[in-house]
Amino acid sequence: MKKFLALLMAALMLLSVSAFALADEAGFDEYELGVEGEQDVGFMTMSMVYFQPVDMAPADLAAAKEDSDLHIEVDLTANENPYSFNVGEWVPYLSIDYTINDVDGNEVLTGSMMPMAASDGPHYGNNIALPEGEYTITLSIKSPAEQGYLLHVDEETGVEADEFWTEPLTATWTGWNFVKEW
Amino acid sequence: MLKYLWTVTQDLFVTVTLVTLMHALLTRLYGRFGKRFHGIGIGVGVAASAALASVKGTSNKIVSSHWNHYIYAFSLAFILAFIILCLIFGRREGARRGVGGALTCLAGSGVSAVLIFYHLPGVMLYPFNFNTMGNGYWSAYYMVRLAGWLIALILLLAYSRLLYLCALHIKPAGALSGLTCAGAFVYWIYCTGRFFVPWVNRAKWLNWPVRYTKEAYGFIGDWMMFTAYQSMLFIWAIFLIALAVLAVCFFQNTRVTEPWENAAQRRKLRARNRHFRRIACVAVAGLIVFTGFLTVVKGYDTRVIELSAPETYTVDGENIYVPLEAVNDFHLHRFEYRTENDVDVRWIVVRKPNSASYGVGLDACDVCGNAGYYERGGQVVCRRCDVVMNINTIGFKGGCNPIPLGYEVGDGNLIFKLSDILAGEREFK
Repeated sequence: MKKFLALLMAALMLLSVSAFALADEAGFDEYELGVEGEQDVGFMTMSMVYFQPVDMAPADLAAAKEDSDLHIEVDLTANENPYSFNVGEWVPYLSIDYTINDVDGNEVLTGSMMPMAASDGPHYGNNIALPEGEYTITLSIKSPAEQGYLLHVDEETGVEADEFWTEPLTATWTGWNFVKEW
Repeated sequence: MLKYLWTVTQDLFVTVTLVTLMHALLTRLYGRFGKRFHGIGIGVGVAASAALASVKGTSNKIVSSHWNHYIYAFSLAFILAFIILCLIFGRREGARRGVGGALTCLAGSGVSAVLIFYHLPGVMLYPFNFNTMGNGYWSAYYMVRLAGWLIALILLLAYSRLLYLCALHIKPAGALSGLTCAGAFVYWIYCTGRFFVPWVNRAKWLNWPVRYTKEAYGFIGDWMMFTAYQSMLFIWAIFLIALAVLAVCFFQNTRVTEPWENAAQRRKLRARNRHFRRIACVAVAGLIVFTGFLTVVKGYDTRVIELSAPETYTVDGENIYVPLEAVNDFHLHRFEYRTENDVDVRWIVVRKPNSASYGVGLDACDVCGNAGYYERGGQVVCRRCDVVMNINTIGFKGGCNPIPLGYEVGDGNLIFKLSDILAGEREFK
């Protein structure tokens, strides 16, 4: 019996270790955030996703993975627009602030999204610390002019618009059930 | 350090308690066979956890949410089987093992293996993810965190041993069986909610056809969110079950109930009782320590940081004067000026280490806005993103650094131009 149990244990351990070695999935899943899904905001189409906190570099420009519960991302692409951003591509130089409220409308967290690149391309995102719960997230999107991004406005080379939008664009995702599963 | 005292306790308390009770119960019911069989379950759980942690830490092959979903499914099946088998076969101590006993041991071992497999890999990986601010494994940053992690693990192991000794000696075995099943049932209820997490998270990998909305899946969604919101409730329920085991052990050992033939034998029995009462008391002390970790320590560690009160200065014409002796102590100092538009513009001053110069900037940065900075253990930290500033680079432009603010030194003062302060007004609107 002793030999049988020892053999059984060894076999189970071997099996469990080899099972992981055979795993061939991708390393993470993105979860849609909120019930709205994709939204048209100004001249952009936006969606929000979240997943496990990530390491970013330079490390001193963003919250550490260790101190965060999740990574939120806003994926956006330009539609037809008067600023000559390429349709279907990411829009740079935006300043995006977020406000997260709980179901009672209390403000839980505010902050800024940072521009960054991941394996699936550029986006705005950040690591944040947030307890599990149901939330609404509102984005305030300021124009590239905030970061000194200029527009040509002369007849020969100018874009269609004379200036960027002056009041921040806003977009809200509701019914976000955040549950930490990583 | 504090963070790991409460996170490791929170992550492992339920697992340690249930696995310990399960081990004691199967040992009581089926002797060496039960102990060894369950030991295999524990061994498999730990080995699989180590393998999972190793692969997860070194590759991108593991998607935890996928694994968790199936772990919850296995947990639900094993726990249900264990409870049913226990109700049938788990009342009498020393009964003939038979097929029922073997199945009970199998189910109990399965429960322990999946419990360990779910909770342990994350804890194993903590030391590989400590944020050392680039200071490496031998830095104080790392060692302090490692100490918190180790202390919590050692305390949990010690508590497990004491709980096991108490559980082995409470009478009758049916009482231990009932308490263990109650604990397993609490965890089973928790699993029923967590099993649906991928659904509510819109996990595409499961191909669940319909999007979750409150209207369509109100009951399941509400239940899942209840288990998320109230996860501590389940921990406290297991806590009470552990407390009940220890209380039974304590009170069953207050008097000598066994027959004795002479005074020496009676003294021996009383000494044994005293021994178990002490074990129960120390284990209860352990529970009190864990309660402290999960309430006081956790509350302190996750508190919302309040900005320190602004300090005084003098305004003379177009300049603001801050005496150097007020900011020469290498600590963070905050100042505030109310503009005509009723906007409070804040700025910070910190003397740089081993230097006569000062780090000066608005109490805001380009990334986190006007959240402000606070001092923690001699470091300047952003209140919003918790990034620790390099004090030597405060005053430089960019990233998480405070927005630079011009100043001059003269006549024992830091001198700020009022116009520079007013220019920072937009950051604080």
